[in-house]
Amino acid sequence: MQTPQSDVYQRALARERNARKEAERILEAKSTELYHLTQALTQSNAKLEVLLQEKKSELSGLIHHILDPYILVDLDGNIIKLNKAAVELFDYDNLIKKAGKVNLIHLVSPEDRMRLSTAFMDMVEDGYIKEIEVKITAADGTVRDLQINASVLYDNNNNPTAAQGIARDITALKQLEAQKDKLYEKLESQNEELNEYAHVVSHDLKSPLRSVNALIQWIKTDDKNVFDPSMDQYFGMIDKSVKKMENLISDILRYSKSEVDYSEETLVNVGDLISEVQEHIDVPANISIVIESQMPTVQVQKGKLEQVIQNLMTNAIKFTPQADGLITWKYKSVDGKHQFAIRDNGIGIEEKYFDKIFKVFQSLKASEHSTGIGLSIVKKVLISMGGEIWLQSTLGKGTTFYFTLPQS
Amino acid sequence: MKGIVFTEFLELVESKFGLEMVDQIITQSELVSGGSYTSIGTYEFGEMLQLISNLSKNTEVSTDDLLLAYGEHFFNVIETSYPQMLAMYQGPIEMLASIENHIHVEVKKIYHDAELPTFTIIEQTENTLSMIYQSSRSMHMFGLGLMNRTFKHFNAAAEIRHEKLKDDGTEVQFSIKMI
Repeated sequence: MQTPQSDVYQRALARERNARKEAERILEAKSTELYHLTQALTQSNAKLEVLLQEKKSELSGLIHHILDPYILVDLDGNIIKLNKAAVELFDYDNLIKKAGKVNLIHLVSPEDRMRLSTAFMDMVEDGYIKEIEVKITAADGTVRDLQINASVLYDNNNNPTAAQGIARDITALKQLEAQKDKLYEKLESQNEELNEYAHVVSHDLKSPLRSVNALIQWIKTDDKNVFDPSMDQYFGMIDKSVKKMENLISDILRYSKSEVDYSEETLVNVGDLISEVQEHIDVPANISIVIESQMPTVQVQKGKLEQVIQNLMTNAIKFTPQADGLITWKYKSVDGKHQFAIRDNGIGIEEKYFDKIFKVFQSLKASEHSTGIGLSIVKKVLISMGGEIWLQSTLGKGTTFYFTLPQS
Repeated sequence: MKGIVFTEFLELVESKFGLEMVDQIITQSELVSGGSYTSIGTYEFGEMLQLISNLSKNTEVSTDDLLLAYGEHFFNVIETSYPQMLAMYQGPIEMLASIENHIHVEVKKIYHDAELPTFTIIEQTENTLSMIYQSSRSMHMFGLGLMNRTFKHFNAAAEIRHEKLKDDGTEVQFSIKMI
């Protein structure tokens, strides 16, 4: 016979037993859940491992095969890793055999060490450096110029851990640059010499001409009564030839100087410049000059453009002899260029001469005023300004010269 | 409701009123679990309501007083199981003020199915704290018990007033003043 007290214990025991079983069931379920979770984690870990390995090998392949030397260093500049190109350039295997540890600073030539060390500190501070140039002595004993780009590597907490850099061998580029500078200097001095030479030659050529001229004048004055009219005509012809010779010499001097203009570029209104030139040259009464289009303002060396306009205008005037001579200026913008046109209604030029007229000493008209240099100067000056020149013409109707200037 | 709330409750009943009282309130209640609780299980809140109201009937102690005493007892569980959490706080006001934004966040990490009350801070100074308790369980007296023990834990004393904003006790304002 059970007492009520023992019933209470019995029930309490039963509850405790049930609770224990329930706890065991829950824990069992939990541990199964944990097991599956662990399995899944292991699998995803394995996948990550594979991925990491793949990326690692991709990266190391990439670094290994970069043609430029790649170097990984710690924050003191001690070398941790190099690619094939760097090993070969610095003969690293030999260096490490000798020293055991190699610092970046020992790779560059002594005079660049201070600069590299400053740049390295700047990089640790700023995170990167760009285009630092240093000289090194390569494994083969040659001195090379390197251009270095480098950056700092950071850990998860954003603390700097190492630095990596790529060096580019710019020795050949540097040599080319030096050669170019030398060549430029040489060209400049040659140019100067040539100018001087042209000046001297033209002076020396002109003085005997002046003597010839003076002598002819004397002969003409002294022996005036002895000459018959035909002699007078011959002397006239000699006189003209001498003047033409003198003009030729002056033009050669102008041609040789035409490119040598180092003045600053300024903003020039082309319409104003045309009017200015027009005032300076002798425009005969039979010629009217009209500017038809709105002219632009361009950034050029004013003297050069003035020379072009003046030559084209005098040229147009010269070949427009008729009573109702008309010269018109036009402008339009074509394919990003300024395009100017100067048209006359003069004698015109045959198409077969279109190329010839831009060559030195090629005048189509035998005249004491025309030496045939003007248009070649125009072309030379325009090319030096980045422009072009060409023409259209019909015999008896007139000629249009077109020229362009860059819009920049 | 987490099993530990039941197991701790029944242990307290047993220590205060004896195993017979435990047996009696379980027998008086209609419990799906049959009164077998394990701290790692989860049970209906309705079971707790029945156990408390039967205990109140049997002992003639009000449910509010029972919940208060239970809350004070339950603080032992926190002291034993989560001492490092208590160590994070310099004082009781600081700890009570961080129930919502810190303690309950941590609880949710371990028991993601835990159903917790919300505490909205109305005003907080160095020595005072005013906040509103909100829960469909109306167990603010349990909360008060925990608060009393919190001050004791930090060797401090406080005057804690509570005012029901809703008659059913689902919304209660606590005004705490450390003395």
